[in-house]
Amino acid sequence: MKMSKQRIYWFCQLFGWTLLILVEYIAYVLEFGYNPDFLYLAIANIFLGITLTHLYRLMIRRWNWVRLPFFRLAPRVLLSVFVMAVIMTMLNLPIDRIIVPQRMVNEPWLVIGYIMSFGKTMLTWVLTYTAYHYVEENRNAEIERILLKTSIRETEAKVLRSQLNPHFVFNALNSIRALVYENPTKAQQSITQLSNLLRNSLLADRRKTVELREEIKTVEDYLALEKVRYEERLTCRIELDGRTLFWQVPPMMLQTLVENAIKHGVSTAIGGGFVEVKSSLVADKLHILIRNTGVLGDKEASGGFGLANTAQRLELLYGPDAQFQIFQENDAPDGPHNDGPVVCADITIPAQSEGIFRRNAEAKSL
Amino acid sequence: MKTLIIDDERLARNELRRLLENFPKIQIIGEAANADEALPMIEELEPDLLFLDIQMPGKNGFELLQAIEGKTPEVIFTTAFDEYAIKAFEFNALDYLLKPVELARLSEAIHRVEEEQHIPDNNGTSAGTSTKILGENDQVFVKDGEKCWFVKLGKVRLFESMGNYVRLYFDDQKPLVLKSLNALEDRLNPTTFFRANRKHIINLQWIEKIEPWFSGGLLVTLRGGDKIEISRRQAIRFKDLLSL
Repeated sequence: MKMSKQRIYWFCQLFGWTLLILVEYIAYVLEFGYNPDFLYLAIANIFLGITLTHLYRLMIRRWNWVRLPFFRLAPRVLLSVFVMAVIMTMLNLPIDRIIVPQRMVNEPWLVIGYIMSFGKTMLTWVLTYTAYHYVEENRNAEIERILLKTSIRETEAKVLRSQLNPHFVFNALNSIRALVYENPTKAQQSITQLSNLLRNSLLADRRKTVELREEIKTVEDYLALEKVRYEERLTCRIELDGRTLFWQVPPMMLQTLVENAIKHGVSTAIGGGFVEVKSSLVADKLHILIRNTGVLGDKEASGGFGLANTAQRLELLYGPDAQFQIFQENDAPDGPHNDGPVVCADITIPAQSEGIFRRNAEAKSL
Repeated sequence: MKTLIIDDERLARNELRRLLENFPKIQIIGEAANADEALPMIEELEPDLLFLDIQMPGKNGFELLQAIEGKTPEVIFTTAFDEYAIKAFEFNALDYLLKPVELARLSEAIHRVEEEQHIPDNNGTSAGTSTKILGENDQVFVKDGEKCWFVKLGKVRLFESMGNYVRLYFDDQKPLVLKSLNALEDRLNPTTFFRANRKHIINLQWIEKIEPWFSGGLLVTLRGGDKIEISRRQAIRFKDLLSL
């Protein structure tokens, strides 16, 4: 059950003041014997206390004292406490003179004693109220920060997931425009490939995972279009293990990595280069290797955001079972191809995503 | 107009070539696929106009321009989609075309270049005779951070040495260029650009006021308010030059 703040406030006011005055009332009764006037005075004090502190609260809110820096806040608070104590004293002292005259000694310290005593009470009230506010404010700020972080991450993931590089799209369109004269059949084919790519890119938002063969189809279309652009400067190889074709993978992830490979590897080399995609099944997990010509540069500068995002997406979908790493391959003299420096990206994906496990567990528990 | 097309894609070059067939004034004298191919062609063929792709393997379009020794031809950039590069153009008159290129837009860009070409032809035919020395009608490509400019040297009123860099002053811009003032002095036409002291080269066309200064030096005020001191040694040469 959640109490509204308003109700908590009034509960605390009523309970606090009643308790405080009750203690005082009992002390009076024990000292001077029972007198109905004590009770009336106690009730009057409870109402006066609540009224004064409530007025103080209205004042704080009206002028927004909570926002003030400490050294401007402190004198204001002390002054208000003093004023409230004086008002309490002005009411109590004359009445006390009448109902407990035996306690009154005519000394000048009496007034100050009263003011000090009420001042203490008021100060306690103010400190409690202020402390509560600070804690509350901090907690709200914390919650806001967490919410903001989550929403930023979601947006980032969404933006990076679905976007085809516009530079690629317009270059492809330009190439196709040239093909319309040179090779109309190829132009038609390229338009189909580009539409497939755009469609998959738009759909990627809505689907959590797709079958590997679908994703490979997207990559093939993408590579075919880049081949139109780079012609003999680009060589592609795709080798797939038949058992991996129906494995579930995040949409557009492979495409993004292959695009990265071309952007940072092949397109910067004057003599061109190659991209190779391989899939295999090792220990019941899907392994995908993307190798390409190139030198792994400063990760921060060259698409480090995209790579970090790939790692994060895998983590979110599959938990710690999925892995992603990218590294510069050592020169292998016995390798089948002599391709110069090679960058390799290695992805490991478990059989099912955590999300699927969770869904199954939920289904069982129902 | 002698024109060179520089783009790493054969299809893109062909496409541009086809579009340029609509402009009989444009005479395509060559094609290059990257900066290494383009630089010797620019030296040799002295094109009036470059169509230049920004993203290329090896040197990109900007780096290619910075590598050109001597006179820089007019340039129309071509790019598919390049936020940063396009931002750079927004500060000045550099022209760029977005691929796929629109015929009307291309025609506009070519007209603009033709207009630019006519002005120096009328009053500065003698200036362009030696290739390595830059006169006031020649333009240079300047890039500082994200901004870049194509600036006629006649508009530059002051060159100031800042360590390994030289600061150019023109209009309200002050870009830094990685070059030594001495190297720059060798390239500039001495009848227009004068070495005032160790730190400054001034454009004589921009002088507004000359006053005598301490120990035989001179104080020159340029249009725009910059005050430059001419050292005693240079003051003698300055007086000779202007026969004052």
